[in-house]
Amino acid sequence: MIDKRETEELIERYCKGQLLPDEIKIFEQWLESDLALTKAVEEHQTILSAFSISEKREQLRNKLNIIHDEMETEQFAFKAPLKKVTEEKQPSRIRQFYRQYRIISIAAMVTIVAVSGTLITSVFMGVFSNKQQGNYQALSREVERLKRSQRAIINGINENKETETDNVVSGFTGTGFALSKDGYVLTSYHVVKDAKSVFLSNEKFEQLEATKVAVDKALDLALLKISDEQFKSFSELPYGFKNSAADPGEKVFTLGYPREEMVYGEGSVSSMTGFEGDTSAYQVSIPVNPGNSGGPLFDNYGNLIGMVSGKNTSAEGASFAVQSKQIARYIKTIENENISVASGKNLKGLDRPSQIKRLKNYVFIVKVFN
Amino acid sequence: MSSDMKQVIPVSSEEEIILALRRCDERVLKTVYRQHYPQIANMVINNGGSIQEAKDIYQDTVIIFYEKLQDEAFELTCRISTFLYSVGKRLWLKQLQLKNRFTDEFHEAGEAIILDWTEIGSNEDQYTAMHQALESMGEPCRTILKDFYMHSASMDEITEKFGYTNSDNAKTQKYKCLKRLKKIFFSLYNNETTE
Repeated sequence: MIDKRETEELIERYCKGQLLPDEIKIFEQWLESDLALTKAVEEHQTILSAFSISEKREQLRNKLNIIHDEMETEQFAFKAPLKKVTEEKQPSRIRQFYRQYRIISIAAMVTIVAVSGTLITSVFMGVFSNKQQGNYQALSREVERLKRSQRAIINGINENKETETDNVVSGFTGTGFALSKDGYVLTSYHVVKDAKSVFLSNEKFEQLEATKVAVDKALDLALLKISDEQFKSFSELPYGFKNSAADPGEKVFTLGYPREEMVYGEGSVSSMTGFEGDTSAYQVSIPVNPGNSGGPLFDNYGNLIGMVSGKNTSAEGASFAVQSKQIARYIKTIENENISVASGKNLKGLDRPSQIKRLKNYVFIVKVFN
Repeated sequence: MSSDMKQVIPVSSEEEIILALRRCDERVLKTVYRQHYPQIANMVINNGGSIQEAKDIYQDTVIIFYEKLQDEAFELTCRISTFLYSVGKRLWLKQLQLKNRFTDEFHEAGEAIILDWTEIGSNEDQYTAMHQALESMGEPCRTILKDFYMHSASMDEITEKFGYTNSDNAKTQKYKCLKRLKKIFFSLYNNETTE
């Protein structure tokens, strides 16, 4: 006597043609005498066929989305021929305008703080060392260290002496990427360490405010949540976490913002441990630069296998990335947050440029204002 | 050679396009997609739809067309544009009906013909029921089932991804999920097909 679950398994193997010739014989004899089983097999076939239709449609829709995005970016004119007969809401343009206006005002605010009555004496581009151990270099980028030397001389009024103050308005940048549809974003802890405010932007989202939700100093992880009113949710993320370990030699790539533009980098997993044998990280042979910190690391199939965190300054091409399973484990420990981590698999089988097209909207430059 | 050559396929006859699509030629798919988008998008937008809805309806339309072409028995008896427009119009009318947004007057943006929907829409019921059933499943069921049945992940991969202690636990979970899915799927599917 076999139980329901075993029957189900038999039915599935039968429908998928995985039974052995002898088993088929017995199964088919059984089918003849059991109407309920016949019905169950028919139902299972319908389910499998519905899955197969859905699978093909999902793949086709991914392709069509790429075609559509390309069409839209290439030809703005496409919006022109769409005339509306019915009178309908027109807030989109206004919203757009408001968005741009807001960004200008944020930028303006920052500039005002930095410049007001001051002289920018140096715009210092440098690296920021956070982990003390010898040659490990964290990779956030100090964008502007605006040394404020204020020299206020008011004409003719004697009481006002020359004053000079030093004030640092610094902004670090790094990279971050979407973790879930509803706006959780992951980056490196050292990028947002002292942040008072954090902004995310990329080609699609000009500026989104985000707040720190949780950090893990040891793993160098920071979880952000987009808090911007403009933001509702992402569309389904095309990638998902890989929970198993990568293999040495596996080809990997990252997207990051070592400068204002997104930069692609590729290489392979060179070692299963990170700096000084850190088992929570990989060593990868991707050339990375300050600003790459917090960038997602993908395997060939577009599965997320880690996050770029630093490099060894005394060895060529030795970069480090936190392993995805460590990230996943950490995220599970965060309480009070309902995070459903992305599990998309829509990048499988696409070539690299198409994968990047699908990915780029989910990778951000992380700007930090202290 | 101008750089345009790479992007745009030279004008070819409808039969050539059909043959290429049957071969799954992606460059031709791209050309066809771009060519017919404005007409169907206009139809949707002129009849109360948003740009997003226009995109969705248009993609559903192209998917049906493409799927049909993979079936060797299917023969197109009208122009591609007429077929796409007619399918698109039908899908949009159905959607308006579902949302109770029916407009009194339909603003045509092309020429529609009457379709044999039992043949053309043969996959729709299965697809819709599966789509809705999966949507209504919670996690981890939805992802487990999609991974296994749609993304051909192995049980071992699923065991690891979801952190089950062994593959037997994962199998039990998958079994329970599938059982629930079947229940929801068939209640939707049998409803749709008897209507």
